[in-house]
Amino acid sequence: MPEVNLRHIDKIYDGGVQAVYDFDMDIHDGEFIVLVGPSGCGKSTTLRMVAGLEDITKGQLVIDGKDCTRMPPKDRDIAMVFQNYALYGHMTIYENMAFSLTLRKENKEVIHRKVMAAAEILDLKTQLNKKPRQLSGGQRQRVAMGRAIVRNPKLFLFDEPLSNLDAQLRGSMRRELMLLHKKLNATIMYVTHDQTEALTLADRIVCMSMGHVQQIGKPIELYENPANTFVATFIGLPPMNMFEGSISGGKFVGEDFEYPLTAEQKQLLKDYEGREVILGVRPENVTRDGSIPFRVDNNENLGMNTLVHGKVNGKKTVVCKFAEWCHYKYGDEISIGFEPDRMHFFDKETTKAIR
Amino acid sequence: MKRRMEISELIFKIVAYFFLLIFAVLCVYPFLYAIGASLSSDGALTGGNSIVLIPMVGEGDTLGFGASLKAYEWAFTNTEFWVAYSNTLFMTFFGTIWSLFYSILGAYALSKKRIMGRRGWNFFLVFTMWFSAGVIATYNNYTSTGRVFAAIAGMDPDQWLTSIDGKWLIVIAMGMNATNIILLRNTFEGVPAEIEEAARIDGATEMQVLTKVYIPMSKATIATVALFFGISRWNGYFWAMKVLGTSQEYSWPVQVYLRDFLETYTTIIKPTVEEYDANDWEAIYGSKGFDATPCAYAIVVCSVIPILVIYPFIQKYFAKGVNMGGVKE
Repeated sequence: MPEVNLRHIDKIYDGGVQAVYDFDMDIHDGEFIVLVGPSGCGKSTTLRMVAGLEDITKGQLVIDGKDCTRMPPKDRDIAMVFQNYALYGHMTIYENMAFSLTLRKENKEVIHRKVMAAAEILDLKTQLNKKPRQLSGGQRQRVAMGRAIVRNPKLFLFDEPLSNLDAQLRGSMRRELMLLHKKLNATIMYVTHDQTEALTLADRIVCMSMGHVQQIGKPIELYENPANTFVATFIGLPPMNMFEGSISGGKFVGEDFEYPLTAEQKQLLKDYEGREVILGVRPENVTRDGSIPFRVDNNENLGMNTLVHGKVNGKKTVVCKFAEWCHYKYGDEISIGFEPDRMHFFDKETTKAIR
Repeated sequence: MKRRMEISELIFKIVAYFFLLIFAVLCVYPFLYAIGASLSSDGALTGGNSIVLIPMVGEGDTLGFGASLKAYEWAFTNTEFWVAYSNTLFMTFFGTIWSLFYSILGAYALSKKRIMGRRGWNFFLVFTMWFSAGVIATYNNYTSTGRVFAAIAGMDPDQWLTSIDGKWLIVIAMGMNATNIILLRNTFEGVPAEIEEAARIDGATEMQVLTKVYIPMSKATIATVALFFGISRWNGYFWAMKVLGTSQEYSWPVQVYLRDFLETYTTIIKPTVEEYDANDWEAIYGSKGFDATPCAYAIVVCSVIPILVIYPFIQKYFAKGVNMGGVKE
């Protein structure tokens, strides 16, 4: 049975700006959902509507069978972790974590047990008497998570919780979050603009842009079968190389090169003969055994692989990712090709993937 | 290596320190004067001594080094002084609590974007800072409040001065101060929105958000504002004098009492023996009477002491950083 249902939710602000268009999805029990997209895409607004911090203009929100569309936040049985921690600076860590239970006038023993259990999970037991200002960024964010955990809510909401941490800490906190999800078997909605977080944490990703949901699916689906050019370029680092062109005589004819299609691709694109399409190829799917002339601009050796930046026919910038250490110099000429079963075609008009 | 000071910098420093010194003397001298004068012995101030830094030696030297505690003896045994003193304590204590109570409520409401007509409300508040209605209108406002109190108590509104206790009128009618409300409002606005949202999600009601989150987080400003309210109540005498007048002497705060004392027993600074030879003091202080000036300064010193005592305790809240670390800045 689905735990959280967002049904055709719209958000229009007082000034008439529409931030979210027709957000519609079911979140299953214990699922880790990541909302990802660039700034201003409506992901945080969606999360805040689920939290009850923003009104839902249109649509319905159901949590565990209960209509929560107009319910105040405290009655929704949710917990939220904020980007800037939002800890109560005047309270100790213990008091911060116990605050919600104290407000509910929970038995003191029960409060103590729950706080200690959360502190144990998050390795905060020695910090309980300190004030937030005495802790590091990572510890503070763990306290914020602890505050959520003690409530044992139906739904956890995370609003870019790792954005304020440095890169190393972000990595370790990400792994802790994964473990936490497994331990608690919690239903989580998580907002981030960091695709690494999205790809590593999510059971399913919701990719958003300009208030519209672009694609909902498992991380691998978004990576390997992006629904449109936005998802294709947003997910994946470095982003997918995109070439505009048309289909003509069994070939992709780009501005700078022509590329033969396989029988399968010809079948897929049979309706696109003479029409404009966009060809997308991920950097790791560029090979060095093709016929497209490529001039190297620079090399980025990353140890396990090398990013080679350069231009096709001196114009179009292309990034290639080769699985070994490369020693190209500026101006070196090589020929590149694409792995045929890893080429993505998009309708230029609709930007949607051709399937 | 120590940097050599430039001539212009040196001159600037000398001038700055010179003016600072003058300013410090200007600040400290009244204290020294009041303390010195209050400890001066009988008659010592009547001979034209206008600069007092140490107690003046006169006839009634009780401390052995030229000082006398006679003025304090007089003050501490004077019932009227104690009544006025307790009135001041009453007005300061309840006045501060009352003013804080609704300043905090008002400031909290005004700090919220969701309040309807927020700009209008804020404008009304700030407007009172730009344009005051003037003394007459304010006086009418206070006396009308007195009438309202009397009416609420079921008495004749026109007889409010005799039927209701003026202390409460001073406490309640004069509780509002736009500057302090704005100070508090700005502090509340400075509390990150996420903190309030976190508290709401944690299950806090509007009142709990205010009392359990905003107030403790704004302790420093609240302490400052409390001090402002307290000091203005403690020192305030003009409206108490005007509104209560002579018909409610029993409600006078110590400042009004002091003013009345100065008017009754001295010619402002230099009292003459003849002035109070005629009054009851003769029985207590001898036929020559007693110099009123040390008494007046004894009252002044007594009325300053509580502020001096409380100040260091409040000052610790001035320290910044009560809220540090709660959110990532």
